[in-house]
Amino acid sequence: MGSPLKKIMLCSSEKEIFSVEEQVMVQHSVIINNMIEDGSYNYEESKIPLDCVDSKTLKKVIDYCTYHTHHHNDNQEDLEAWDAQFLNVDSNGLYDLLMAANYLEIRNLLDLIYRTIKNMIKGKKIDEIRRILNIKDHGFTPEEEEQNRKEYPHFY
Amino acid sequence: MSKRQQFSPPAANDPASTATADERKKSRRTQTTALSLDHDILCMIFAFLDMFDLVRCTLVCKTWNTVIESLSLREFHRRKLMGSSEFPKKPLRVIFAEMAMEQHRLALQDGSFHVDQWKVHSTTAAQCRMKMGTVATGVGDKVIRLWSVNSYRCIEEYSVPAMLPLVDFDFDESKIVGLIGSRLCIWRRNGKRSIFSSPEGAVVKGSCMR
Repeated sequence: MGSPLKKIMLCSSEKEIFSVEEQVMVQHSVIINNMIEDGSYNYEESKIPLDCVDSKTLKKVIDYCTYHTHHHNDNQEDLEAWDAQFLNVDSNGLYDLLMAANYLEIRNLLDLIYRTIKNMIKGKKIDEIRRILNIKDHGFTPEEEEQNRKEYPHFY
Repeated sequence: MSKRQQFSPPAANDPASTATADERKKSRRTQTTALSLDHDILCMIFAFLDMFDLVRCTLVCKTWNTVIESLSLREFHRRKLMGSSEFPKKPLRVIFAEMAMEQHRLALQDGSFHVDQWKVHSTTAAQCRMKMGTVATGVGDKVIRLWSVNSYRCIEEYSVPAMLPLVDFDFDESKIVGLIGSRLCIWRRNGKRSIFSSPEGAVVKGSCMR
């Protein structure tokens, strides 16, 4: 673990540089923690390239890590309320966050997103799931889709 | 520069998600959608769902269908559900439908099945009828109540005129019919009530709407 005030640089897919407290990322991202620990990050020169994370998503991820670093002593309810507000994004924004959290191995954020998506699916009918998760092309042939609808009307 | 290259995507050693940073970058030009989530991520989400949700999910889209019907996930549920017995190569929804029928048959055989209980009247409710996801209860006090089977909530309530005991009742989409002493009472489900006298004297239980 590095000293609290050290900063590290993250570089988004648009090549925008974000300077973040090292502690914040080390505590949340397994990947960044490993990089710092094994000495592969050079504080003077290195920027961590995150080619699959755009600036908007990276900013969100940093917000999440920062908030959870500084508020980890808050009561559970407040944190959950903050998380719910944090994940109040459209489904594509949610997938971007999911990919970013997966890439950076931010386990608590991953878990939060998995649970959120689970709740979007649980107990819902197929048409509703497609709408909520913005699945436009289901990939079944018209015949298959018709057959499924006929056979399992209560699923739709 | 060489130091930077040590940073690798978390799942780089996983064959299901071997997209390199460059490939991922290309795919960034299009929007991330539910369909672009990779196999492992989908499996993680599906692991949170129960088998009923999973079966529905097999019909949400082709990608999900492939993942859910894929061997690893089936294997997982096979172990969870059926111990070590063989798992036939049918779609999950067919397997579960067969299992449900089998469970239903067994339940009727041994008389042990799941029972939902809730309190409907302050006194004994001596009769209930069920139709179209609605249960009507009554006989024993001065009200007939209609319940939603999904929520166990009382959706409608009809009071019996206070003169004679309610003998029998039945209902359909538009009305509730009650036999009260020698009278026939019809409640429209929009609120109107009509009472008719029966010419043959007292009515008999079991004869309502038959």
